[in-house]
Amino acid sequence: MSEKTVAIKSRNSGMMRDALVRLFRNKAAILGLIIIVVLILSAIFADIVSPFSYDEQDLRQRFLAPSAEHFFGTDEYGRDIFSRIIYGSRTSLLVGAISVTISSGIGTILGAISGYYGNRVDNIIMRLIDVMLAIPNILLAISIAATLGPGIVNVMIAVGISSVPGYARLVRASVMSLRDQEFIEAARSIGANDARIILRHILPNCMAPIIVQATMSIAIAILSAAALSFLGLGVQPPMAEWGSMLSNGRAYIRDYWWVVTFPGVAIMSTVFAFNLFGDGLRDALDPRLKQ
Amino acid sequence: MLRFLFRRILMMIPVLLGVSFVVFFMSYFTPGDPAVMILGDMATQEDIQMMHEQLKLDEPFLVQYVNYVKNIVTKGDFGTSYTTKQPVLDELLVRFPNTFKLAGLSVILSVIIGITVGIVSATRQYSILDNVATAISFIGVSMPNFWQGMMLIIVFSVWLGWLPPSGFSTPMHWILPAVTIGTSSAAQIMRMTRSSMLEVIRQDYIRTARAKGQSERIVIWRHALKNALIPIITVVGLSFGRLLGGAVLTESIFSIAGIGKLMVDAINMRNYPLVQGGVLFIAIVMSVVNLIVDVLYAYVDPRIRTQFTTNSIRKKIRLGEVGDE
Repeated sequence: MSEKTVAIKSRNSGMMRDALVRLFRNKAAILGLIIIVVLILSAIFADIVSPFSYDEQDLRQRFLAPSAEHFFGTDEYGRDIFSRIIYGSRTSLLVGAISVTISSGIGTILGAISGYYGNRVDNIIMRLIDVMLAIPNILLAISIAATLGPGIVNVMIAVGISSVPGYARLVRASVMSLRDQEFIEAARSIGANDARIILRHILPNCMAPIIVQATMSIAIAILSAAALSFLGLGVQPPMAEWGSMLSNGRAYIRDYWWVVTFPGVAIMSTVFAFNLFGDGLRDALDPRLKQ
Repeated sequence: MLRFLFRRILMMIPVLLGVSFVVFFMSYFTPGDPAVMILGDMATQEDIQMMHEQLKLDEPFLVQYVNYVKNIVTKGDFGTSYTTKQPVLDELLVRFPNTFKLAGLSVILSVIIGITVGIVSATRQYSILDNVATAISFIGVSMPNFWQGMMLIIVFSVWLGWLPPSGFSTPMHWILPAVTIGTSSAAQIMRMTRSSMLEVIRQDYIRTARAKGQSERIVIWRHALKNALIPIITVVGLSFGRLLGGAVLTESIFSIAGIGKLMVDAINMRNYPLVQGGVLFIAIVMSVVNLIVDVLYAYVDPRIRTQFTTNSIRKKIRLGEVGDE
């Protein structure tokens, strides 16, 4: 018994090491990872990194162009845009992480149940997923957020729920392909119950696509959250959030380009980083896809 | 084929019923009394009571839902907008042509750009061109399209003064919004075209086509592309849905009187019948698009086509409709 676990463990770690080696050979993925790490660090140490506070107003200094003092200029209340972007990374990363946790959690459970039990259960869950897929993702998030009312927690819930279908389908497909394999039958024959089989034997074997999907969907979640904030359904002032900064700056684009340019660049670079990293991760975890 | 179409249309019904239920459920539990919304804050208690009876708001949830669906199916009645007091369907239909035109233009734009660049990338894999195209496609999917719209306005309307920043009346007005919405789907179509083409190009029949002396252009555009089309069509179909969703924000950036702007305004005014109707309407359009995609599969891929015909022949044989020859 113990020998077997050791053998499996070393094989797993070998696969993991191979994947890591492949990942670190991919320059684009490393670039993405570096941007993500910098973002996380600046979000954690926002108080130290940012030159000003996110809600420090100075009405005599409204709409200052980018300069050595204010790297990205100031907004309509004379607040430093660079500092607000740094504080905004907290909100965006948090929203991205939590909404992906919500969607991957619910989606994995639904997909696993659907794929494992099949038949009627599968039919009911998949029809539910079809209904959700019939509404464009962002529109579903908007409707949920409009129902729940504005606020950062509601944004996380709205964005999270709206991307459940993708996970459910993905997990369902992997579970279905594993369900009838011999090692599952072996587990069943020694009396493991369904919950144990799903959690201990099936899910660990379909983690790779779930992880890739999660990385990619952080990018989508950040975009959706920015869109919701842009519509006024997201965080409430004076909290800094990139989408709401764009929304506030929108009235001034004719005269002050920097007010909307930099928050957008922040969103774009973050999403870009997660996309690059997710793409590299997929290639690393699934070498068959690599051409 | 007809039988397949009929079955596919029947399958749309439960999905749309589900969407209507979800939409109704959400607005039912949204805080706020519709009667107060319609009458305004100055309404007396009696007026509100009367409105409740008129709208049947005192009925149980399920009864209200059945009434909602019944009104849609029998009378095409999606409810009445709180703000304009017009039927929701009328408001949607007036604005639909603009949204459809916008989505259509961006689909065309993104298909042309996506497929061309994707093929070029695939045929010259790992060249500078391929790397640049891949990098740009990553940036394309990473931009929030409402922000991209604002950037385009700053550059092309405010600084250069070439294109109008708002409205949708002339072809000049179409360019910026169509580019804004089309960019991310162009990027996705490009990536899918590239990987799908790379797979096909390695197949034996491509080597055969080259070996018999076929010109490279025909090998790529006829032999290879045709076989790479299925995943590309899937992405195009999916992106049409995204375009409709993306139109929601882009239309308000460019002040285009379409369904998207209507819905954003409706959300801000808490005009729920209009939000409900809009989501349901877009879901219907999406289902029709999915149907078209499924039919296109059959058109493009003879294997899928024969699946339908053999199925129906088999069925006919079973029913004794086709005798031995």
